Amino acid sequence: MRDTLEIFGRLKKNKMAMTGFVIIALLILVAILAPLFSPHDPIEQHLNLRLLSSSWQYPLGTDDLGRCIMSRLIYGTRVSLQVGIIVVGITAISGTLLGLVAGYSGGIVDEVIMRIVDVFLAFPGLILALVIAGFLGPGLFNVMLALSVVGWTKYARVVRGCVLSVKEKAFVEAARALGGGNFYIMFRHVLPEALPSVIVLATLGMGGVILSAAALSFLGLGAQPPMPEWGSMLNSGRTFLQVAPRLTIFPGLAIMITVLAFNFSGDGLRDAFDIRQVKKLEI
Amino acid sequence: MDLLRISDLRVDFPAEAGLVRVLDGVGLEIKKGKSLCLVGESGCGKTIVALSIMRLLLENAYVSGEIRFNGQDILLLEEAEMRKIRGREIAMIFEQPATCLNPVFTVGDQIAGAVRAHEKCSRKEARKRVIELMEMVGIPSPRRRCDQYPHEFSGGMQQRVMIAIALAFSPSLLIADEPTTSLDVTIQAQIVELLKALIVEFNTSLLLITHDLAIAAELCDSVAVMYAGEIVERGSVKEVFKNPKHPYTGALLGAISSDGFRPIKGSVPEFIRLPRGCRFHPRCSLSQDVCRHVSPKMRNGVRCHLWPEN
Repeated sequence: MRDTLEIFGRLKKNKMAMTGFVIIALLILVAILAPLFSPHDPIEQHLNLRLLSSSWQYPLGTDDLGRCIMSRLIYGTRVSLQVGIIVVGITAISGTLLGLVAGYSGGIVDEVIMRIVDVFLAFPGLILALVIAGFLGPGLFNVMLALSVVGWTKYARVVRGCVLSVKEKAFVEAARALGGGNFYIMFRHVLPEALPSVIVLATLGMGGVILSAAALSFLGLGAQPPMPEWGSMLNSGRTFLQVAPRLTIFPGLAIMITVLAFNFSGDGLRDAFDIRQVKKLEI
Repeated sequence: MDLLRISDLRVDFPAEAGLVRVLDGVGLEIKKGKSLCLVGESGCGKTIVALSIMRLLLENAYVSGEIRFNGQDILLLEEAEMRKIRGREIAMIFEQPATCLNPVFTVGDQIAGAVRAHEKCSRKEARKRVIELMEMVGIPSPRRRCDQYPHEFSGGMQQRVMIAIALAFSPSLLIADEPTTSLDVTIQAQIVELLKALIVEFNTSLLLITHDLAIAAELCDSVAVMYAGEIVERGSVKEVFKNPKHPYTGALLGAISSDGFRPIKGSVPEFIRLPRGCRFHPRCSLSQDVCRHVSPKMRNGVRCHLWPEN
């Protein structure tokens, strides 16, 4: 408990990370309370009010179908965070479990799992996701599936590395000498050592996943109209780049701020967890 | 009946040069409530004996012979059955307490883990038991200290924690592998006193592995002297320390004496290049022709050609 406080104390001093966390908290709030914040229905079309610039009624103007950009951005937060949380959840849990099993059992199991990881890593992640999503057909669900299939490998690798070093420690042998079973040792002694790395990876991963999902949506493979999604908003605004740059600037900004917030938080967490780095600074 | 009876234990490890035999026909027994000390220089196989009993040797080790615990041959047990014995029946404490405690959990958590594995009880009851155990092993203000992490404990206190964890199960046999080696001398004495009191209180048998003869004399009823994977002398502590029969025992006892250090010349032979005949003969001041060619057998508790039969 005191250690948690210590880590939190280090985190609090890191302004970038704290800014990131505040932005993430705001985004979550916005996503949950989207109907409250948004001035209009995000998919309601007003063809007589197309491509308006900002006004009191439409703070960020309207798009080519007369929909309120502000409302679409706000509802888009829901979609992006949902995709991020689901994909990171699936990849982090499955990757951690596979890495744990691979590192702990060693031998042929380890060999098989890690060679599969190597195969996945041999392809550039986004391209592989593109192929999978293209193969399964467009849709947000398929994009999540594709990103999950691609994303678990880094968790597996990091956790396996952690397990390999923890496995040899004397306290694991002591636990075994006192009658601890494999499951007990894996989850009670080995997993806690790997957890900080997983948390850092997952936070950084959120940004990556949101960006990839937006990219796939931009390419037309993800969210389908009229769903308000940042990537697809960018895509539909592309045609009006010269007459109404708002249509692309605001979704772009939303993506950028969100991804940066997650990256700053992830970096901050990594620094807070890494005791060696802190010691170095204190000397 | 003997609680533990090891007979003709052989352990081989595969190496580049073929199988290397690191234990050759080791036999010893411990009666219920009694204690035995295994002494010998570093590298003569003491820890291998302990790990064989726990069945924690590397998987590639070849083990033969018999290790009977309560009449049951441990070497024939399934891994799942063995796991029930580890901790519950036979507990082990190690030389380096600092590395044997998980650095990411509080000390109380780790003792509680052992307590709750032993008997089903609520967190509250477990905590009460933890505090009792910590008091028993002499950790001051256990209520406060059980929420601290291992790195906040000194070496002696960490070893006390390890002892508390081992005793949480009230095992019938406690294996202590050099429990005091990493501690300084005054703390050593305290730990020895503690072990001595606790084995009586818990009615636990003790297998002590050490190269500190003073501790062996203090804690144990009988002693087995090991050299290069063999037991060279066995007997009661009094007998062996007063009248050592084997020259190696004599040399060990003489190494630290009131008139200064008298180290035994040379070192334990490597297991891949064991001398012919008696394994101790190259270092033995009394060696004769027969020692160089014929391997001595265990007779009257000693493995030496020179010891007269009766």
